[in-house]
Amino acid sequence: MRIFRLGISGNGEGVILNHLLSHAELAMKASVRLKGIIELIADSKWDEARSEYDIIDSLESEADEVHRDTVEKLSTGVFFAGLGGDLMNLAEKIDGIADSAKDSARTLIFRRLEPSEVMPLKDELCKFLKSCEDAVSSLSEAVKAIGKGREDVIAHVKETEMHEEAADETKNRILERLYQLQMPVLSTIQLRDFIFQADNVADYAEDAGDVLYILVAKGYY
Amino acid sequence: MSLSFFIPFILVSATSFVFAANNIGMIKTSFQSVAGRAQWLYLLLSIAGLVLGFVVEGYKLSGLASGDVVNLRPYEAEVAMFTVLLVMSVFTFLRLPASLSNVVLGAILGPAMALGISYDVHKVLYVIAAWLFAPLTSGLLAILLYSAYRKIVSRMALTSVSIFNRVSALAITLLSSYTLSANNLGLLLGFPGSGLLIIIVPAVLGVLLLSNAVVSTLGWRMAMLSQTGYLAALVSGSFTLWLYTQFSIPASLTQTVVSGMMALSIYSKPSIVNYRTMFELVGSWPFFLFLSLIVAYSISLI
Repeated sequence: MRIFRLGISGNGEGVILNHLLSHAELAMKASVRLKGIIELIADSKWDEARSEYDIIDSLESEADEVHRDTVEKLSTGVFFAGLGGDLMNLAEKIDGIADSAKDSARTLIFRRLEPSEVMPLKDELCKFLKSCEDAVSSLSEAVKAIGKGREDVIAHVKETEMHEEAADETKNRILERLYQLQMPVLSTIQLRDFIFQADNVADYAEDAGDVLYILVAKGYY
Repeated sequence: MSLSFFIPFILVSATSFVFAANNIGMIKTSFQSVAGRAQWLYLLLSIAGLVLGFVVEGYKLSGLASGDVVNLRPYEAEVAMFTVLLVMSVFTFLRLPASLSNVVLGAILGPAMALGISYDVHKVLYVIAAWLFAPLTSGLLAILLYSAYRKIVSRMALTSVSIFNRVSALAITLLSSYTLSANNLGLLLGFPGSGLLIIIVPAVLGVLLLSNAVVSTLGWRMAMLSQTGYLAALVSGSFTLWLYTQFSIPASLTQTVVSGMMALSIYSKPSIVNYRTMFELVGSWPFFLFLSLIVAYSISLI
Protein backbone atom coordinates (compact mmCIF):
# COMPACT_ATOMS: atom_id res chain seq x y z
CA MET A 1 0.00 0.00 0.00
CA ARG A 2 1.14 3.51 -0.76
CA ILE A 3 0.65 4.62 2.85
CA PHE A 4 3.32 2.10 3.92
CA ARG A 5 5.74 3.34 1.28
CA LEU A 6 5.31 6.92 2.46
CA GLY A 7 6.31 5.81 5.93
CA ILE A 8 3.20 6.83 7.84
CA SER A 9 2.44 3.39 9.23
CA GLY A 10 4.46 1.56 11.83
CA ASN A 11 5.36 -1.29 9.49
CA GLY A 12 8.95 -0.16 8.97
CA GLU A 13 9.95 -0.19 12.64
CA GLY A 14 8.79 -3.80 12.94
CA VAL A 15 10.72 -4.82 9.83
CA ILE A 16 13.93 -3.21 11.10
CA LEU A 17 13.51 -4.75 14.54
CA ASN A 18 13.01 -8.19 12.98
CA HIS A 19 16.17 -7.71 10.95
CA LEU A 20 18.13 -6.80 14.07
CA LEU A 21 16.71 -9.80 15.88
CA SER A 22 17.61 -12.20 13.07
CA HIS A 23 21.06 -10.65 13.00
CA ALA A 24 21.54 -11.12 16.74
CA GLU A 25 20.25 -14.69 16.55
CA LEU A 26 22.69 -15.56 13.77
CA ALA A 27 25.54 -14.07 15.80
CA MET A 28 24.31 -16.11 18.76
CA LYS A 29 24.22 -19.35 16.72
CA ALA A 30 27.76 -18.72 15.50
CA SER A 31 29.16 -18.04 18.98
CA VAL A 32 27.42 -21.05 20.55
CA ARG A 33 29.35 -23.36 18.21
CA LEU A 34 32.77 -22.27 19.48
CA LYS A 35 32.48 -24.45 22.56
CA GLY A 36 31.69 -27.40 20.29
CA ILE A 37 34.92 -26.91 18.35
CA ILE A 38 37.01 -27.00 21.54
CA GLU A 39 35.25 -30.15 22.72
CA LEU A 40 35.71 -31.84 19.33
CA ILE A 41 39.43 -30.98 19.22
CA ALA A 42 39.86 -32.28 22.76
CA ASP A 43 38.14 -35.51 21.63
CA SER A 44 40.44 -35.78 18.59
CA LYS A 45 37.50 -35.28 16.22
CA TRP A 46 39.38 -33.02 13.85
CA ASP A 47 37.11 -33.45 10.82
CA GLU A 48 33.99 -32.68 12.82
CA ALA A 49 35.75 -29.60 14.21
CA ARG A 50 36.38 -28.44 10.64
CA SER A 51 32.73 -28.99 9.77
CA GLU A 52 31.76 -26.89 12.78
CA TYR A 53 33.97 -24.12 11.42
CA ASP A 54 32.22 -24.37 8.05
CA ILE A 55 28.87 -23.97 9.77
CA ILE A 56 30.14 -20.90 11.67
CA ASP A 57 31.48 -19.53 8.39
CA SER A 58 28.11 -19.86 6.68
CA LEU A 59 26.30 -18.36 9.68
CA GLU A 60 28.65 -15.40 9.51
CA SER A 61 27.96 -14.96 5.79
CA GLU A 62 24.24 -15.08 6.50
CA ALA A 63 24.71 -12.47 9.25
CA ASP A 64 26.54 -10.26 6.74
CA GLU A 65 23.56 -10.38 4.39
CA VAL A 66 21.12 -9.48 7.16
CA HIS A 67 23.47 -6.66 8.18
CA ARG A 68 23.46 -5.28 4.65
CA ASP A 69 19.65 -5.41 4.48
CA THR A 70 19.31 -3.69 7.86
CA VAL A 71 21.64 -0.86 6.89
CA GLU A 72 19.82 -0.45 3.58
CA LYS A 73 16.45 -0.17 5.32
CA LEU A 74 17.79 2.24 7.91
CA SER A 75 19.43 4.50 5.38
CA THR A 76 16.04 5.50 3.94
CA GLY A 77 15.76 7.49 7.18
CA VAL A 78 11.98 7.26 7.49
CA PHE A 79 11.73 4.79 10.35
CA PHE A 80 13.23 5.18 13.81
CA ALA A 81 13.65 8.87 12.97
CA GLY A 82 16.72 10.32 14.62
CA LEU A 83 17.95 6.91 15.73
CA GLY A 84 19.06 5.54 12.36
CA GLY A 85 22.76 6.15 12.97
CA ASP A 86 22.68 4.44 16.35
CA LEU A 87 20.78 1.47 14.97
CA MET A 88 23.38 1.14 12.22
CA ASN A 89 26.04 1.18 14.91
CA LEU A 90 24.13 -1.53 16.79
CA ALA A 91 23.98 -3.67 13.64
CA GLU A 92 27.72 -3.11 13.18
CA LYS A 93 28.46 -4.36 16.70
CA ILE A 94 26.23 -7.39 16.25
CA ASP A 95 28.06 -8.13 13.03
CA GLY A 96 31.30 -7.88 15.01
CA ILE A 97 30.09 -10.76 17.20
CA ALA A 98 29.59 -13.05 14.20
CA ASP A 99 32.92 -11.93 12.68
CA SER A 100 34.78 -12.62 15.94
CA ALA A 101 33.16 -16.05 16.28
CA LYS A 102 34.33 -16.89 12.78
CA ASP A 103 37.84 -15.48 13.29
CA SER A 104 38.35 -17.35 16.53
CA ALA A 105 37.11 -20.62 15.02
CA ARG A 106 39.43 -20.14 12.06
CA THR A 107 42.39 -19.69 14.40
CA LEU A 108 41.67 -23.11 15.82
CA ILE A 109 41.39 -24.94 12.54
CA PHE A 110 44.32 -23.24 10.73
CA ARG A 111 46.73 -25.53 12.54
CA ARG A 112 46.00 -28.89 14.05
CA LEU A 113 46.20 -28.75 17.85
CA GLU A 114 46.89 -31.92 19.79
CA PRO A 115 44.13 -32.97 22.20
CA SER A 116 46.76 -33.09 24.93
CA GLU A 117 47.42 -29.40 24.38
CA VAL A 118 43.75 -28.48 24.74
CA MET A 119 42.78 -30.87 27.54
CA PRO A 120 44.44 -28.96 30.45
CA LEU A 121 42.47 -25.85 29.49
CA LYS A 122 39.26 -27.48 28.26
CA ASP A 123 37.05 -26.90 31.31
CA GLU A 124 38.13 -23.30 31.76
CA LEU A 125 37.82 -22.67 28.03
CA CYS A 126 34.29 -24.09 28.00
CA LYS A 127 33.40 -21.90 30.98
CA PHE A 128 34.86 -18.87 29.21
CA LEU A 129 32.98 -19.61 25.99
CA LYS A 130 29.77 -20.15 27.96
CA SER A 131 30.14 -16.64 29.41
CA CYS A 132 30.68 -15.24 25.90
CA GLU A 133 27.63 -17.16 24.72
CA ASP A 134 25.56 -15.85 27.65
CA ALA A 135 26.65 -12.29 26.88
CA VAL A 136 25.39 -12.67 23.30
CA SER A 137 22.21 -14.37 24.49
CA SER A 138 21.46 -11.47 26.87
CA LEU A 139 22.17 -9.01 24.10
CA SER A 140 19.75 -10.86 21.85
CA GLU A 141 17.09 -10.54 24.59
CA ALA A 142 17.91 -6.84 24.92
CA VAL A 143 17.39 -6.35 21.18
CA LYS A 144 14.09 -8.22 21.45
CA ALA A 145 13.12 -5.88 24.30
CA ILE A 146 13.27 -2.87 21.92
CA GLY A 147 9.77 -4.04 21.00
CA LYS A 148 8.72 -4.33 24.67
CA GLY A 149 9.92 -1.56 26.96
CA ARG A 150 12.79 0.54 28.21
CA GLU A 151 13.19 -1.30 31.53
CA ASP A 152 13.50 -4.66 29.78
CA VAL A 153 16.18 -3.34 27.44
CA ILE A 154 18.22 -1.94 30.33
CA ALA A 155 17.88 -5.11 32.42
CA HIS A 156 19.18 -7.31 29.59
CA VAL A 157 22.02 -4.93 28.79
CA LYS A 158 23.09 -5.14 32.44
CA GLU A 159 23.07 -8.94 32.15
CA THR A 160 25.24 -8.66 29.04
CA GLU A 161 27.77 -6.56 30.97
CA MET A 162 27.78 -9.06 33.81
CA HIS A 163 28.52 -11.98 31.46
CA GLU A 164 31.23 -10.00 29.70
CA GLU A 165 32.93 -9.33 33.02
CA ALA A 166 32.73 -13.02 33.90
CA ALA A 167 34.25 -13.87 30.51
CA ASP A 168 37.07 -11.41 31.18
CA GLU A 169 37.88 -12.94 34.54
CA THR A 170 37.94 -16.46 33.13
CA LYS A 171 40.03 -15.30 30.19
CA ASN A 172 42.69 -13.94 32.53
CA ARG A 173 42.81 -17.21 34.46
CA ILE A 174 43.14 -19.22 31.23
CA LEU A 175 45.95 -17.01 29.93
CA GLU A 176 47.82 -17.34 33.20
CA ARG A 177 47.50 -21.10 33.02
CA LEU A 178 48.33 -21.22 29.30
CA TYR A 179 51.70 -19.51 29.80
CA GLN A 180 52.61 -22.02 32.48
CA LEU A 181 51.94 -25.07 30.33
CA GLN A 182 54.75 -26.89 28.60
CA MET A 183 53.75 -27.02 24.94
CA PRO A 184 55.10 -25.89 21.56
CA VAL A 185 55.29 -22.11 21.25
CA LEU A 186 53.11 -22.18 18.15
CA SER A 187 50.34 -23.94 20.05
CA THR A 188 50.59 -21.38 22.83
CA ILE A 189 50.32 -18.55 20.31
CA GLN A 190 47.46 -20.28 18.54
CA LEU A 191 45.46 -20.80 21.74
CA ARG A 192 46.23 -17.28 22.94
CA ASP A 193 44.96 -15.82 19.65
CA PHE A 194 41.86 -17.97 19.88
CA ILE A 195 41.16 -16.68 23.40
CA PHE A 196 41.62 -13.05 22.38
CA GLN A 197 39.38 -13.41 19.36
CA ALA A 198 36.71 -15.31 21.27
CA ASP A 199 36.85 -12.58 23.91
CA ASN A 200 35.92 -10.12 21.18
CA VAL A 201 32.58 -11.94 20.96
CA ALA A 202 31.73 -10.82 24.50
CA ASP A 203 33.32 -7.41 23.96
CA TYR A 204 31.19 -6.75 20.87
CA ALA A 205 28.11 -7.87 22.79
CA GLU A 206 28.97 -5.38 25.52
CA ASP A 207 29.60 -2.62 22.94
CA ALA A 208 26.23 -3.37 21.36
CA GLY A 209 24.72 -3.06 24.83
CA ASP A 210 26.27 0.39 25.15
CA VAL A 211 24.63 1.39 21.86
CA LEU A 212 21.32 0.16 23.26
CA TYR A 213 21.79 2.49 26.24
CA ILE A 214 22.27 5.36 23.79
CA LEU A 215 19.18 4.31 21.86
CA VAL A 216 17.11 4.27 25.04
CA ALA A 217 18.48 7.64 26.13
CA LYS A 218 17.83 9.23 22.75
CA GLY A 219 14.56 7.48 21.96
CA TYR A 220 12.72 8.46 25.11
CA TYR A 221 13.98 12.03 25.53
CA MET B 1 -5.22 49.14 -17.58
CA SER B 2 -2.15 50.90 -16.21
CA LEU B 3 0.74 49.24 -14.42
CA SER B 4 -0.22 50.96 -11.19
CA PHE B 5 -3.36 48.84 -11.13
CA PHE B 6 -1.24 45.71 -10.76
CA ILE B 7 1.17 47.05 -8.16
CA PRO B 8 -0.90 46.09 -5.06
CA PHE B 9 -1.38 42.55 -6.41
CA ILE B 10 2.31 42.20 -7.19
CA LEU B 11 3.34 43.49 -3.77
CA VAL B 12 0.96 41.23 -1.85
CA SER B 13 1.78 38.10 -3.84
CA ALA B 14 5.53 38.72 -3.71
CA THR B 15 5.35 39.27 0.06
CA SER B 16 3.36 36.08 0.47
CA PHE B 17 5.97 34.19 -1.56
CA VAL B 18 8.90 35.53 0.47
CA PHE B 19 7.08 35.03 3.77
CA ALA B 20 6.44 31.35 3.02
CA ALA B 21 10.03 30.81 1.92
CA ASN B 22 11.32 32.42 5.09
CA ASN B 23 8.93 31.16 7.74
CA ILE B 24 8.27 27.58 6.69
CA GLY B 25 11.84 26.89 7.79
CA MET B 26 10.59 26.90 11.36
CA ILE B 27 8.12 24.12 10.59
CA LYS B 28 10.75 22.21 8.66
CA THR B 29 12.58 21.42 11.89
CA SER B 30 9.95 18.72 12.31
CA PHE B 31 11.05 17.13 9.00
CA GLN B 32 14.72 17.08 9.73
CA SER B 33 14.96 13.45 10.72
CA VAL B 34 13.03 12.09 7.75
CA ALA B 35 14.29 11.71 4.24
CA GLY B 36 13.29 10.70 0.73
CA ARG B 37 9.63 10.30 -0.10
CA ALA B 38 8.50 11.26 3.40
CA GLN B 39 9.90 14.77 2.94
CA TRP B 40 7.27 15.32 0.27
CA LEU B 41 4.51 14.22 2.58
CA TYR B 42 5.60 16.77 5.18
CA LEU B 43 5.85 19.44 2.52
CA LEU B 44 2.33 18.65 1.30
CA LEU B 45 1.04 18.85 4.86
CA SER B 46 2.70 22.24 5.28
CA ILE B 47 0.93 23.46 2.16
CA ALA B 48 -2.40 21.98 3.30
CA GLY B 49 -1.96 23.72 6.67
CA LEU B 50 -1.15 27.04 4.98
CA VAL B 51 -4.28 26.85 2.82
CA LEU B 52 -6.56 25.70 5.66
CA GLY B 53 -5.28 28.22 8.18
CA PHE B 54 -5.69 31.09 5.74
CA VAL B 55 -9.17 30.07 4.62
CA VAL B 56 -10.57 29.17 8.05
CA GLU B 57 -9.07 31.80 10.36
CA GLY B 58 -7.06 34.20 8.24
CA TYR B 59 -9.77 36.88 8.37
CA LYS B 60 -9.21 37.32 12.14
CA LEU B 61 -6.01 39.29 11.56
CA SER B 62 -7.11 41.22 8.49
CA GLY B 63 -8.13 44.27 10.53
CA LEU B 64 -4.64 45.21 11.72
CA ALA B 65 -3.75 47.17 8.58
CA SER B 66 -7.29 48.20 7.73
CA GLY B 67 -8.66 49.95 10.77
CA ASP B 68 -7.76 48.17 14.01
CA VAL B 69 -4.46 50.00 14.41
CA VAL B 70 -4.45 52.45 11.55
CA ASN B 71 -6.55 53.19 8.51
CA LEU B 72 -4.15 53.66 5.62
CA ARG B 73 -5.07 55.02 2.22
CA PRO B 74 -4.15 52.86 -0.81
CA TYR B 75 -0.83 54.61 -1.54
CA GLU B 76 0.26 54.48 2.12
CA ALA B 77 -0.75 50.84 2.31
CA GLU B 78 1.39 50.19 -0.76
CA VAL B 79 4.34 51.86 0.93
CA ALA B 80 3.79 49.66 3.96
CA MET B 81 3.53 46.54 1.79
CA PHE B 82 6.65 47.50 -0.15
CA THR B 83 8.52 47.90 3.14
CA VAL B 84 7.35 44.49 4.32
CA LEU B 85 8.47 42.92 1.04
CA LEU B 86 11.84 44.66 1.16
CA VAL B 87 12.66 43.70 4.76
CA MET B 88 11.43 40.12 4.37
CA SER B 89 13.36 39.70 1.11
CA VAL B 90 16.62 41.00 2.56
CA PHE B 91 16.42 38.65 5.54
CA THR B 92 15.44 35.68 3.41
CA PHE B 93 18.39 36.45 1.12
CA LEU B 94 20.61 36.50 4.22
CA ARG B 95 19.04 33.17 5.25
CA LEU B 96 17.81 34.61 8.51
CA PRO B 97 14.30 34.15 9.89
CA ALA B 98 12.17 37.30 10.01
CA SER B 99 8.78 37.76 11.59
CA LEU B 100 6.04 39.06 9.32
CA SER B 101 3.95 40.23 12.28
CA ASN B 102 6.75 42.46 13.64
CA VAL B 103 7.56 43.80 10.19
CA VAL B 104 3.92 44.53 9.27
CA LEU B 105 3.26 46.47 12.48
CA GLY B 106 6.34 48.63 11.95
CA ALA B 107 5.51 49.10 8.26
CA ILE B 108 1.99 50.36 8.91
CA LEU B 109 3.10 52.66 11.71
CA GLY B 110 5.82 54.21 9.52
CA PRO B 111 3.52 56.02 7.02
CA ALA B 112 1.09 56.88 9.83
CA MET B 113 3.83 58.63 11.80
CA ALA B 114 5.38 60.27 8.75
CA LEU B 115 2.13 61.62 7.39
CA GLY B 116 0.40 62.43 10.66
CA ILE B 117 -2.30 59.80 10.33
CA SER B 118 -3.82 58.85 13.67
CA TYR B 119 -3.26 55.34 14.94
CA ASP B 120 -4.51 53.42 17.95
CA VAL B 121 -1.70 53.68 20.50
CA HIS B 122 -3.51 51.39 22.93
CA LYS B 123 -3.79 48.66 20.34
CA VAL B 124 -0.08 49.00 19.50
CA LEU B 125 0.85 48.75 23.18
CA TYR B 126 -1.54 45.83 23.58
CA VAL B 127 0.22 43.98 20.73
CA ILE B 128 3.69 44.76 22.10
CA ALA B 129 2.64 43.59 25.58
CA ALA B 130 1.44 40.37 23.99
CA TRP B 131 4.81 39.93 22.29
CA LEU B 132 6.52 40.33 25.65
CA PHE B 133 4.21 37.79 27.22
CA ALA B 134 4.34 35.22 24.37
CA PRO B 135 7.76 33.71 25.17
CA LEU B 136 6.65 32.99 28.72
CA THR B 137 3.43 31.25 27.63
CA SER B 138 5.21 29.27 24.98
CA GLY B 139 8.12 28.30 27.22
CA LEU B 140 5.90 27.05 30.04
CA LEU B 141 3.66 25.18 27.64
CA ALA B 142 6.68 23.52 26.01
CA ILE B 143 7.89 22.25 29.40
CA LEU B 144 4.43 20.95 30.29
CA LEU B 145 4.05 19.21 26.93
CA TYR B 146 7.50 17.71 27.10
CA SER B 147 6.94 16.39 30.63
CA ALA B 148 3.61 14.90 29.59
CA TYR B 149 5.22 13.32 26.54
CA ARG B 150 7.93 11.72 28.64
CA LYS B 151 5.32 10.28 30.99
CA ILE B 152 3.29 8.89 28.08
CA VAL B 153 6.19 7.24 26.27
CA SER B 154 8.07 5.97 29.32
CA ARG B 155 6.11 2.71 29.31
CA MET B 156 6.02 2.30 25.55
CA ALA B 157 8.33 0.14 23.46
CA LEU B 158 10.96 2.02 21.47
CA THR B 159 9.27 0.89 18.25
CA SER B 160 5.97 2.41 19.43
CA VAL B 161 7.75 5.59 20.52
CA SER B 162 9.20 5.87 17.04
CA ILE B 163 5.78 5.46 15.40
CA PHE B 164 4.24 7.90 17.89
CA ASN B 165 6.94 10.48 17.10
CA ARG B 166 6.49 10.08 13.37
CA VAL B 167 2.71 10.46 13.44
CA SER B 168 3.03 13.38 15.89
CA ALA B 169 5.50 15.09 13.57
CA LEU B 170 2.96 14.86 10.75
CA ALA B 171 0.15 16.28 12.88
CA ILE B 172 2.40 19.03 14.24
CA THR B 173 3.52 20.01 10.75
CA LEU B 174 -0.12 20.51 9.79
CA LEU B 175 -0.91 22.37 13.02
CA SER B 176 2.08 24.69 12.81
CA SER B 177 1.55 25.67 9.20
CA TYR B 178 -2.17 26.17 9.94
CA THR B 179 -1.55 28.63 12.78
CA LEU B 180 1.30 30.34 10.97
CA SER B 181 -0.94 30.93 7.99
CA ALA B 182 -4.00 31.96 10.05
CA ASN B 183 -2.05 34.52 12.02
CA ASN B 184 0.62 35.79 9.62
CA LEU B 185 -0.79 35.33 6.14
CA GLY B 186 -4.07 36.64 7.50
CA LEU B 187 -2.30 39.95 8.12
CA LEU B 188 -1.88 40.44 4.37
CA LEU B 189 -5.66 40.39 3.91
CA GLY B 190 -5.80 43.91 5.27
CA PHE B 191 -3.80 45.31 2.34
CA PRO B 192 -5.12 46.42 -1.04
CA GLY B 193 -4.88 43.79 -3.75
CA SER B 194 -5.16 40.87 -1.34
CA GLY B 195 -7.29 37.83 -2.03
CA LEU B 196 -7.32 34.09 -1.56
CA LEU B 197 -5.43 33.11 -4.69
CA ILE B 198 -3.20 36.19 -4.71
CA ILE B 199 -1.88 35.17 -1.30
CA ILE B 200 -2.11 31.39 -1.25
CA VAL B 201 -0.63 30.50 -4.65
CA PRO B 202 2.62 32.47 -4.10
CA ALA B 203 2.83 31.10 -0.53
CA VAL B 204 2.65 27.54 -1.84
CA LEU B 205 5.30 28.36 -4.44
CA GLY B 206 7.48 29.87 -1.72
CA VAL B 207 7.24 26.66 0.30
CA LEU B 208 8.04 24.49 -2.70
CA LEU B 209 10.85 26.54 -4.19
CA LEU B 210 12.67 28.28 -1.37
CA SER B 211 11.73 26.74 1.94
CA ASN B 212 15.20 25.39 2.67
CA ALA B 213 16.55 28.91 2.95
CA VAL B 214 16.49 29.38 6.71
CA VAL B 215 16.27 25.82 8.02
CA SER B 216 19.91 25.54 9.01
CA THR B 217 19.78 28.51 11.37
CA LEU B 218 16.77 27.17 13.16
CA GLY B 219 17.77 23.58 13.27
CA TRP B 220 21.42 23.42 14.06
CA ARG B 221 22.91 26.74 15.02
CA MET B 222 20.53 27.20 17.88
CA ALA B 223 20.32 24.08 20.00
CA MET B 224 20.88 20.35 19.93
CA LEU B 225 17.46 19.33 21.18
CA SER B 226 16.00 15.88 20.66
CA GLN B 227 13.41 15.47 17.94
CA THR B 228 10.78 15.34 20.67
CA GLY B 229 12.08 18.60 22.10
CA TYR B 230 11.69 20.29 18.72
CA LEU B 231 8.19 18.93 18.35
CA ALA B 232 7.15 20.06 21.85
CA ALA B 233 8.51 23.53 21.10
CA LEU B 234 6.65 23.61 17.79
CA VAL B 235 3.35 22.62 19.43
CA SER B 236 3.74 25.16 22.22
CA GLY B 237 4.72 27.89 19.76
CA SER B 238 1.87 27.02 17.43
CA PHE B 239 -0.67 26.85 20.23
CA THR B 240 0.43 30.25 21.56
CA LEU B 241 0.13 31.67 18.05
CA TRP B 242 -3.33 30.13 17.64
CA LEU B 243 -4.41 31.64 20.97
CA TYR B 244 -3.22 35.04 19.81
CA THR B 245 -5.10 34.58 16.54
CA GLN B 246 -8.33 34.24 18.52
CA PHE B 247 -7.67 37.71 20.01
CA SER B 248 -6.62 39.13 16.62
CA ILE B 249 -3.08 39.73 17.87
CA PRO B 250 -0.32 39.25 15.30
CA ALA B 251 2.58 37.21 16.65
CA SER B 252 5.69 35.45 15.47
CA LEU B 253 5.91 31.67 15.23
CA THR B 254 9.70 31.93 15.15
CA GLN B 255 9.76 33.74 18.48
CA THR B 256 7.21 31.53 20.21
CA VAL B 257 8.87 28.33 19.02
CA VAL B 258 12.34 29.54 19.92
CA SER B 259 11.04 30.47 23.38
CA GLY B 260 9.78 26.93 23.75
CA MET B 261 13.17 25.61 22.65
CA MET B 262 14.96 27.86 25.11
CA ALA B 263 12.76 26.73 27.98
CA LEU B 264 13.30 23.08 27.05
CA SER B 265 17.04 23.55 26.69
CA ILE B 266 17.20 24.89 30.21
CA TYR B 267 14.79 22.26 31.54
CA SER B 268 16.28 19.13 29.95
CA LYS B 269 19.88 18.35 30.86
CA PRO B 270 22.36 17.88 29.36
CA SER B 271 21.75 20.44 26.65
CA ILE B 272 23.85 22.13 24.01
CA VAL B 273 22.45 25.57 23.39
CA ASN B 274 23.59 28.57 21.43
CA TYR B 275 22.02 31.11 23.78
CA ARG B 276 23.28 34.02 21.72
CA THR B 277 21.40 32.92 18.61
CA MET B 278 18.34 32.11 20.71
CA PHE B 279 18.24 35.47 22.46
CA GLU B 280 18.82 37.19 19.13
CA LEU B 281 15.75 35.45 17.69
CA VAL B 282 13.45 35.87 20.69
CA GLY B 283 14.51 39.44 21.23
CA SER B 284 14.45 40.32 17.54
CA TRP B 285 10.95 41.81 17.55
CA PRO B 286 12.02 45.36 18.51
CA PHE B 287 14.63 45.21 15.77
CA PHE B 288 12.16 44.17 13.06
CA LEU B 289 9.53 46.58 14.37
CA PHE B 290 11.85 49.59 14.31
CA LEU B 291 13.65 48.62 11.12
CA SER B 292 10.42 48.39 9.13
CA LEU B 293 9.05 51.49 10.87
CA ILE B 294 12.12 53.51 9.88
CA VAL B 295 12.12 52.18 6.30
CA ALA B 296 8.39 52.83 5.82
CA TYR B 297 8.68 56.24 7.50
CA SER B 298 11.55 57.23 5.19
CA ILE B 299 9.79 56.03 2.02
CA SER B 300 6.61 57.88 3.03
CA LEU B 301 8.53 61.14 3.21
CA ILE B 302 9.95 60.80 -0.31
